[in-house]
Amino acid sequence: MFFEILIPGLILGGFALISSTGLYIASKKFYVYEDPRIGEVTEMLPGANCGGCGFAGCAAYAEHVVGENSLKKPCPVADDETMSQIGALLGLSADTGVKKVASLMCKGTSQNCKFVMDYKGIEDCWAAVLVADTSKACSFSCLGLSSCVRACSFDAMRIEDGIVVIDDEKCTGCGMCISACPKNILHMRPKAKTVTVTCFNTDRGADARKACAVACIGCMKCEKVCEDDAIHVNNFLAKIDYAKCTLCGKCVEVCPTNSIEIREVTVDA
Amino acid sequence: MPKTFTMGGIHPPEEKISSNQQIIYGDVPPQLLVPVDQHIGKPCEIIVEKGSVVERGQLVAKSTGFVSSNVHSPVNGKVDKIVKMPQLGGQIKQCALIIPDAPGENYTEVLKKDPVNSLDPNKLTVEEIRKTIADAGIVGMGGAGFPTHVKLSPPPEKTIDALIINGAECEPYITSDHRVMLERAGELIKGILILQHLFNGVPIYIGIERNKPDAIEALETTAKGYDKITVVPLIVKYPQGGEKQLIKAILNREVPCKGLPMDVGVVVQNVATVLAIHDAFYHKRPLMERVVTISGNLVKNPGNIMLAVGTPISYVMEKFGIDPQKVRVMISGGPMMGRTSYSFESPVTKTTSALLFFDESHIIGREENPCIRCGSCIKACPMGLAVAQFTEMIKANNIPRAIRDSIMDCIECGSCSYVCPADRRLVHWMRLGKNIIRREN
Repeated sequence: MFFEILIPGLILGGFALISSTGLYIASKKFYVYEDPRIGEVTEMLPGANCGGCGFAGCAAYAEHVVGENSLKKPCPVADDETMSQIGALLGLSADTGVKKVASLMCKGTSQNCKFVMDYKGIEDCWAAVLVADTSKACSFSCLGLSSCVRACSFDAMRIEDGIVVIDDEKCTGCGMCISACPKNILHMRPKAKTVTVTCFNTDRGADARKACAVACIGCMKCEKVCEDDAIHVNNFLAKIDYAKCTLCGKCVEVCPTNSIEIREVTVDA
Repeated sequence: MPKTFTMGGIHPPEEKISSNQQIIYGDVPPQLLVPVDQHIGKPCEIIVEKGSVVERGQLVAKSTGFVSSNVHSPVNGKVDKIVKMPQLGGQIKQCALIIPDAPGENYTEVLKKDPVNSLDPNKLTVEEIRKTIADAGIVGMGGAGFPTHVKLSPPPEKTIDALIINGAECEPYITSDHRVMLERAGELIKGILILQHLFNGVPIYIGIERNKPDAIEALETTAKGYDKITVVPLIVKYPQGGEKQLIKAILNREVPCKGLPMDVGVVVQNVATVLAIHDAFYHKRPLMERVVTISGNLVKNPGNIMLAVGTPISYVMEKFGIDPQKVRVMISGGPMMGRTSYSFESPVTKTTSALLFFDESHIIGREENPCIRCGSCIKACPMGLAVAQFTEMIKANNIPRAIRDSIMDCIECGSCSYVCPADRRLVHWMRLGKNIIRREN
């Protein structure tokens, strides 16, 4: 009875001893030195693996930062505090730059911009563009088929009434949605500058207006009223120079088609 | 024994309801929207401007490279403006809006004024032939719109030993090529002789599906007495008119993966293109008009009509008494490979072989359902692709695997979508996958 328990115990114990010795030798022999700071930096990073920095995830970015010993390319997602912590660890000064968020240059909701066709294909903006440049009256309009929503790792985008709505609080500015848009109507703006031209239509004013109720018609009123020389109309479309804009809101007031929008200023940036 | 390709293929209803209708000639519409780009390749450069006076056959847009094609004005008139218009393919492109001098003039009168040129095709030089075709802005009129002079200029290391004239017309509804073969067989053979001379007297095969016995007979009678011109009757099966399928059916040669017909020594030309080549030589007429089949269940009197490139669809609809209110689907080209379009103001282009108008009764409108792994699409694919697998690869963004499994060999014939019992948009997924690959490279 006693031996029937002892023998298997000894056999298993023997196996354990042999394999643990093998593992021990292997771990010593094939040891690769990895800078411990890579792991520490990876821990500090947001960990969303969004790819906004241009590397394949946070670990790859950490490896780059430690390897190059430079923080010239800051993580677009991490906040100032995180970046300065990483900087302190590596003995570098971290320059986070201006926090940016994505904004949609379109207000073509189903009321403002009518659908001209009944698209029944795959729910993907790129697939829709293969069938026709647009399914709405305006050829620059947001198609609302969620290609950018799928590209967003931070749950900051949703489709509402046919167009994308971006949550400024959740948007980290990683920029992955920009390249996911076939219509090129997502742009980055500084998070603090909450004024946007919500139109990307470069057609003549009359044509733009016919297509959409809230299109920029290139009337130049905003350009004239702006005291800071920050808004210019080019090709029948207003464009804001965020470096000069002071958020006075005068352009928003004069815009006859409501195609310039200002949101409540968020404080944290 | 009639020939066919071996792999896959389907049998959609033929619906060739306009096959007995003679080609009629349209009138010059009150305005023409001549699109600047009507081909695959480099975009053209527009050379007219607002207010320019144009003559019939005058250049409107000039080709900007080798793989590019000229566009000419089909009428005498004045350019009113340059506008951006949605095209039949769905893209928004620049068009020259031309107001003709004599709107309402019947097209038979316009065509009569063109010069008649008598020539001996055997005296033409190779360069002369290629240049005339390039200058005339001739593109593949079967639907793809690839510039013909490029197809006729294979690199010197590829020897061409056979020429196939594609008269299969395997798409349902379309009958424009059928009528051309029937009514203009003589001109067709003259055009073929020019091509035969270009390739040093290679044998010519004219592939025609067996559902057009009158066209087979007409061409056989006309081709009698000419050397090396054979009419090949083909089994009725879609996509018999696909370039690679046609080569397999007639010559039993297989175009290699990622290859072109010239890799197996063959050049394929559509019958409408050959007719355009004839016109370019014998009438000095650039490609400015084409035969279009007007059909579909909303058309009371379906027919085949000669239309100028740039004729707005709304004008055609008026002529055929089609109520725009009732139209739910408008397809340019055949129902299998054609494109649905949404604007009745879009113009007819060089590649519009048919315009089909349908109401609700022809919309299936079911949602896309999950794949049930029945394998129908794989059985139907004429290129031997595992279609159902690709949709999953594209969804998962597994592009390297899709490339490995030869997604680029898809000819977008739509056989897979046609047979799918789960209404999956298979061909759309394939096109999306191909688009992603083209974008990334």
